[in-house]
Amino acid sequence: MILHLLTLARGSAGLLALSAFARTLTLLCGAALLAYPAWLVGRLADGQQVPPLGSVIAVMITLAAAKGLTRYAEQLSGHTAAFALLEQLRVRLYEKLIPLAPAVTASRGSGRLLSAATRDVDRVEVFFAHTLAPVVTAVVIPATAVALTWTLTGPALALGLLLIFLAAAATLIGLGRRGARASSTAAVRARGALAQEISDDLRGRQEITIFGAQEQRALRVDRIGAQIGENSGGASVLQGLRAAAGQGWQVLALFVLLLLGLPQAQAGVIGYTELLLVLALVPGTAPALAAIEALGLSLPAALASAANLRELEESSPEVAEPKHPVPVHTEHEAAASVSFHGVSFGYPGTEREVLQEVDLRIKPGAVAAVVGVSGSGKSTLASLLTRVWDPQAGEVRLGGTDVRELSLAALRAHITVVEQRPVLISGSIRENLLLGSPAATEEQVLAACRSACFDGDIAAMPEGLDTQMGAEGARLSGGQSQRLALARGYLRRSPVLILDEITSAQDPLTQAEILRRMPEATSATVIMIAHRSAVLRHVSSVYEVDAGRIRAAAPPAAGA
Amino acid sequence: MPPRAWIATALQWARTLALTTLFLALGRVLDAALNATDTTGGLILGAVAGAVAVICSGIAASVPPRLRAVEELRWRGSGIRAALNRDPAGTATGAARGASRVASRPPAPSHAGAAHGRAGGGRPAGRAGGGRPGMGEADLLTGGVERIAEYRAEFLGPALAAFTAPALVLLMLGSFVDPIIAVVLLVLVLLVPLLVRFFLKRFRGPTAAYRRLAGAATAKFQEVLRSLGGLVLLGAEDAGRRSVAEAAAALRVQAVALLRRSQLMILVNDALFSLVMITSAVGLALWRFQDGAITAGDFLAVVLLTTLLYEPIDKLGRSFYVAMAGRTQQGLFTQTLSTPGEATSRTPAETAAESPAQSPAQPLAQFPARTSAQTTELLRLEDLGVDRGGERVLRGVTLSVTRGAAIAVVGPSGAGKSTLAQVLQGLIPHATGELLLEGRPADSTALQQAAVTVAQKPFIFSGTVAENLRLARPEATDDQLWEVLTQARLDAEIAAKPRGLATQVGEDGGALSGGQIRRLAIARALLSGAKLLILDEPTADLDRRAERLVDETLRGLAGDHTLILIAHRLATTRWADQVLVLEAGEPAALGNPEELLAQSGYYAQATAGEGEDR
Repeated sequence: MILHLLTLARGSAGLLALSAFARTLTLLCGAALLAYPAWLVGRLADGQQVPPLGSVIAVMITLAAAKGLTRYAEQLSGHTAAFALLEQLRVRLYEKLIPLAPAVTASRGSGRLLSAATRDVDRVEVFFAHTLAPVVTAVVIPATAVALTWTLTGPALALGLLLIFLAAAATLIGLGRRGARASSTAAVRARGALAQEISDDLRGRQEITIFGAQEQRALRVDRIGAQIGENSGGASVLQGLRAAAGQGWQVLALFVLLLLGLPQAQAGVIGYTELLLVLALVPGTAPALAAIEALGLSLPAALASAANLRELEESSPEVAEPKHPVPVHTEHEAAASVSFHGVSFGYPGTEREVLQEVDLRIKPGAVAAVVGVSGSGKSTLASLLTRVWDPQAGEVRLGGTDVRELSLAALRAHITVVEQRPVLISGSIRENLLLGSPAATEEQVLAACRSACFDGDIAAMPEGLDTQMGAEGARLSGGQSQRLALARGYLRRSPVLILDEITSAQDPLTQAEILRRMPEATSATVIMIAHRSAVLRHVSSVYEVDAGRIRAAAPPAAGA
Repeated sequence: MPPRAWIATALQWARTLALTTLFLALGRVLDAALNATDTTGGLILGAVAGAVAVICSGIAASVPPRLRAVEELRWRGSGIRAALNRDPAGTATGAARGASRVASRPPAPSHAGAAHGRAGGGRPAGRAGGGRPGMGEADLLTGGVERIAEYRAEFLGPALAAFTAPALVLLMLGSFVDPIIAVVLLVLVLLVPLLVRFFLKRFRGPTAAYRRLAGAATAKFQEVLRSLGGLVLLGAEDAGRRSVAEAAAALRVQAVALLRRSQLMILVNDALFSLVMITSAVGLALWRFQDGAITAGDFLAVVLLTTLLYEPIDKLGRSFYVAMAGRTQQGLFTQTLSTPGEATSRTPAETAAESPAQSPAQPLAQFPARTSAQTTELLRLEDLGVDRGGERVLRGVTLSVTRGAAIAVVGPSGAGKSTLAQVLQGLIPHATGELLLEGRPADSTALQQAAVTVAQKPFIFSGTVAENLRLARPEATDDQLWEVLTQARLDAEIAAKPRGLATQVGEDGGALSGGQIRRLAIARALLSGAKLLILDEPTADLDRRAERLVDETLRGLAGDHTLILIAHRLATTRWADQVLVLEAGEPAALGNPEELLAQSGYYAQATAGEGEDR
């Protein structure tokens, strides 16, 4: 798993290494800024010659400047690496998810899954960009200090220092781990509940005002907040212990070195120069060692996140690409037949069969309607045709070919689904219209908008097609989003067009106009999914889905 | 600074004094060893000082987490109250309209008065960036409050301590080692706060900009992930990948440009300080030693003490982002919500004890005994006009609503139907004409108490069925809940669920069907005991069976309850007593459905457009 974690950072390895190297130099310069004057004092104590004042100041200035420069290099390379890594990890996740889509976003709990994946990406990024280099130096710098102590004063002081470093590191890592565990269970759940509660309160503000329930709701927020606060007792003790340990090892190390070294210096076994230099290494290495704490906290989190991401990346798609895809055959130039033969289907992980032995034949170029109450399985028909899922029994055919024999890309290029709540990405109206057909010309775009009764909306917008619409189309009404999606659907000119409840948010006159303009907009096979019979006056055949079964209903008499 | 932060500050001062003592004692030990006298005294003093320092740092560090929890509670409590007590009309409905502010507000719960009073000036909500209304506030009340509390608890106190500690160190250095070194260093130390102020000011802009960028890139990533299914079906997965990569690359380029500047300032700050401060200390000590003014032990003490002088700058570097994020969020918070005053800084237990007294919106006696069907007029509108954003959006509306009547309001989108509903609910004021409630001119408070609106998409709170109903009346008994569920014809469906009233409805009522959500909202409205029910598109977006059930529910209420139905779908208005047709902000027709069908106006045309759809 550690290997997998490391492979995730391969793309930014160079910058990360540079950052760690620069950090090591920074910390070494920092330690030298203390060790050099201590060495001076030692020379004086030993009655030896010291460099003149000017040279001392020059050395100090050089060290300080080097420390500043290397720190700048560390920060810059570290942050650059972090952003590059975030970009790589996000694109990687996106690419790994493509084969799993659309099922991965269509199933229940997908929101949670995706936000977990986002969090995992962030954690891996935090580990590499903000934890790895400090942890590396937390090992390298004290090890250097121990080696130096050994060289200068022999094994006794070096071993003493080593033991204290090890004890301090173990304590700090242990405290860090406990802190992580304490904050990762109850508090995280309470925070989730709190976010939900606040989001509810803000979105339900109108209801709250109408019922005068402001204080009732605010008290609930207070209560959950107090639950989170209850955990602060434990955190407070841990943080106190951590600070005490961080200070304590330094005091202890100073005394151990002094008690071991002072008699040796007095006896002339070592010089004061060596003793004081070694003493100064204690405060000198403290900034480096402090970072070891993060190891107990951040490494387990990063490992767990890497494991989650790997599991997601390695999960098998709901539908498999055929080994030898056959080309799509369409009966007419711009229209294909659609048929279901004894199709039964239930959503993975559920008991209920949404569709039972469904048979359905829609001729090329026909305009058919599928009606039924909500939850009856109407939209599932569209999902099976586009192979979001595969049926457990039976066969779905496009142009007479089993859809499982067609390549997924070709299949989806031949079918356009206009959804009730369409996918809109932030950007301009034009970008959204062109999502499914990037090569469409301006005239084609405008014609499609006219057919979808979306032209009036565009004319009324400040910058027409180039109007920005905010995240997920926040600036569009429900009706406008549906008309945009319809225009986008027309633009794709696919042989099959599925319209899923596209008039649900339209007022009656707009709805009628959309249906009136449809015949000139497309010659494809059109399947209209609706629970309203208002759309039915414009169709040639009607199928009613009821409790998972389907039956042909008589098309309504014209004008009824 | 929060009072408790002073405790942490005082402990930090104690720690600094103890560490200074320790370093001075080590100097004495060195001198004693060089003079071949007894080192025990110095070692003991040092050991005691060291122990005190360790204990003080431990206790000082344990204060912030508790303080943080307290601050978080205080700020969030004040913020959520400010948010909830603010005019909902502007935030809950069309964000694009720039809705006018309500002149008078709902009666604020008495003890939230402090926060309310401050927010009461009708500050425009900070929604300039677009997006879903209220989303910025949600972030402020969750992550934002965490950042603020972190800043106030973990930065303010410790930072103050770190910046004042050098003065203590120098005081002791002056007293026990050498006054000249101390005075020179003191001048340098005094420059530090000035430098820090300067840098804080230069940093705030870039930090805020960086956070905005990072937030935008993350939002983009999540949006594209959520849309992935649709993108794949459209064959547009490349557009999605491009979009993710572009947002991340833009973030990287801009953030690195920002960092290049801000880190350069840290570098200058840091290098200057260690350069000037430590170099001066060492240089001065060497010079004084060579003059014979101080001993080698004093020199050692000066060297060790520079670590304490260096602390403030180190602290600044490490908690820099905490400070910047906290200050930015605190600024946003006070702008959009409110600052918690002393009045709101009480524990939840205290506020909880007070709550039952103020929650009921109407007197209890009103609840079931609403059958006193007087035949008098409940509501009268006389030549009513309404302005929104400086424009007259509704004019000349005259209407008489008798008790128990069902009035339908129809018309094309944008005709002013929802505006009329909001005026009747008391959410926006009328500009001209008269609005009489039971014969008396009605202000918004009276209207808010008399009317309850069931929104087109009623909001259902996460929690149980009972919790959702009790929003309208916290003290209602289970029997009362069942009674309104029966009236709303939802009783059988709730009773069939294993947990009954305690059934979890899920986020946004996800565990309920669309029709059940409408009927639950109707039951909730009934429970409030309101005299007037306003139903905004009660059957829109429902399948036929659900539409029939809601329709039956409403017909069942007619006669006992006064109903205003805002309707797109005209089929659902056939049983209304009167239909008011609005077109372009003016009443176009008023009459019963049969009369209107006989005329050639919008009602007849649109009904024909809908088809025989029943």
